[in-house]
Amino acid sequence: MIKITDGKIGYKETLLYIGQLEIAVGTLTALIGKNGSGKSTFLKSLCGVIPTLGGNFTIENKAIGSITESELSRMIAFVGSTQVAIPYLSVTEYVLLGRSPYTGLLGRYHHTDFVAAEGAIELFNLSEKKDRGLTELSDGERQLAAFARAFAQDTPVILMDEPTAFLDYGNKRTLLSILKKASQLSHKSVIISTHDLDLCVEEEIGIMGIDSRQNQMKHYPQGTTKEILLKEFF
Amino acid sequence: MSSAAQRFRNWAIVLAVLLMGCFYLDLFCGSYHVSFTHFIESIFNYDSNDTSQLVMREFRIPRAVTALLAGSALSVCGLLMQTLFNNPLAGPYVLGISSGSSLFVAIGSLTGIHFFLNDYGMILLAFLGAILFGVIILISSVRIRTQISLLLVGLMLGSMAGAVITTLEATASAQELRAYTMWTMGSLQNTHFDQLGLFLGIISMALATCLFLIKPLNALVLGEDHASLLGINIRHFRFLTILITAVLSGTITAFCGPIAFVGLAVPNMAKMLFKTASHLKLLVGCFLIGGSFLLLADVLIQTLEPYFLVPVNALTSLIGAPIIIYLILKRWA
Repeated sequence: MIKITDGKIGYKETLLYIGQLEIAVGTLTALIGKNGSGKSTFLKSLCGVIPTLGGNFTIENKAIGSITESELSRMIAFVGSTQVAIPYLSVTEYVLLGRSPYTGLLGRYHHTDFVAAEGAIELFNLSEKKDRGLTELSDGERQLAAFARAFAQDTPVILMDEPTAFLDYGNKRTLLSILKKASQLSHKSVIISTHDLDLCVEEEIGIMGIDSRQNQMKHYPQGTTKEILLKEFF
Repeated sequence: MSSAAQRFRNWAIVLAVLLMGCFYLDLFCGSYHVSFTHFIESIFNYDSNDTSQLVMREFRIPRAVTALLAGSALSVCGLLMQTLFNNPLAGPYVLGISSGSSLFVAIGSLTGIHFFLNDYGMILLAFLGAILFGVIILISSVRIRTQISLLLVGLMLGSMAGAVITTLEATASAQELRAYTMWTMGSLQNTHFDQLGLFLGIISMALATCLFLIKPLNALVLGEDHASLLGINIRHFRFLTILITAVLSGTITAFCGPIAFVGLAVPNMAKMLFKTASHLKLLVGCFLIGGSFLLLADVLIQTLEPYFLVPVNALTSLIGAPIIIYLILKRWA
């Protein structure tokens, strides 16, 4: 559960004000807004890459600023907007890296780590490709592997910065529905930033919008029509 | 067992045998024939009147052990640098860490400050130079985001050190100049048998510390931000990595002079051979391939010795540079 009250975020100057926001577990929430409205900044602030500028940000009742790196890595998993294509890194090795927060000083994986990685790989239908190198996958598969890594990290919260940007229409759709199912099944709060407004409405995903005229974030219930959203945010 | 694990195991066995073979060859291939018994006796039951034992203890063993340690340590350094800077062309030599050692040794040996003109003084100087330049690179790496700029900083440091060294050379005496020039050519023969303990101790301690870097190194292939979100403390990791690199390359440079290209070429060879991004496997690979690489270079030097003298640095550049060119061409072709 993420709770924000009176939150201010941005680089030095406040870019975005969040009066009151709660994100429940087991939901997939899409974050929409214009380019430059602060979607990435919001996600990066939540996972501590950028310090927040004021207000209360809590995850599981702990203030974000007070959480140590290693604690945070067990609470939030992050998928960036750039594709990870590292030579010689196989899907399994990549997904196992998501287990780093749970390994000891020498980084040895235990049985539970292999089980978690295997489960995440299955969840995203990558079992047949698990020994392939990341560079040998298609853009869509590579993105699925990134999701699997985040899910293997076994955190209550997963943040994704434009995870569907590289994908074709069909893959976008499949990915969103897989993500929605996965977040419900594993009781996670998944927040993705995206420009695919139509798909989010179609897949009935909860929507948070950034109103860039007032620099505020608003939560919209499922089923809000595209027309209202478009009017409000673009 | 998965195919990747099998691939690693098979290659590791082949490389380990190769390493032992190279070590054996380096000990026994010289123009003066020495038997295996002489080898054992020269270590445990040394008799300095026996020429065979003398050759073994004073020449063959020190240079073979030095080649093994220097090759593997420099390769491990290269791997650490390449992952830290996320650049396959990084290495202690390219990033200017070796230049730091060269600069300090030049200051020590060319200015005639006699305090530093013993073995331990040279080691200390090379080490301090490596640490200093390592720290400069480290501070730059915090401020600079792109790795290519960082490599340029390394190159600039190198040429600045080169400028100071040239100035010192211009004013040095002929004898000092010769000593320094010989040092820069690199040599595996400057280590004495009694120094091997110290050498072995420092290197194996630094290499053992690398085991604690495996986890952050593995996470770091995803980039620093991602590694940090996986719970890795980047500052600690950077500090420890630069420290280990400075200790390893500083010690090697002190004993053998600046040896080029091993640290750059070998990690890339290990990656191509093992096809993995797992740093435990890559460390093992670098250790085995790096050791064999310098041992083979030394065998070659010993074989050519009756005809002409090849400095080790010339040989490693001669072999290493084409490998790097090949890698670059293959990467951007």
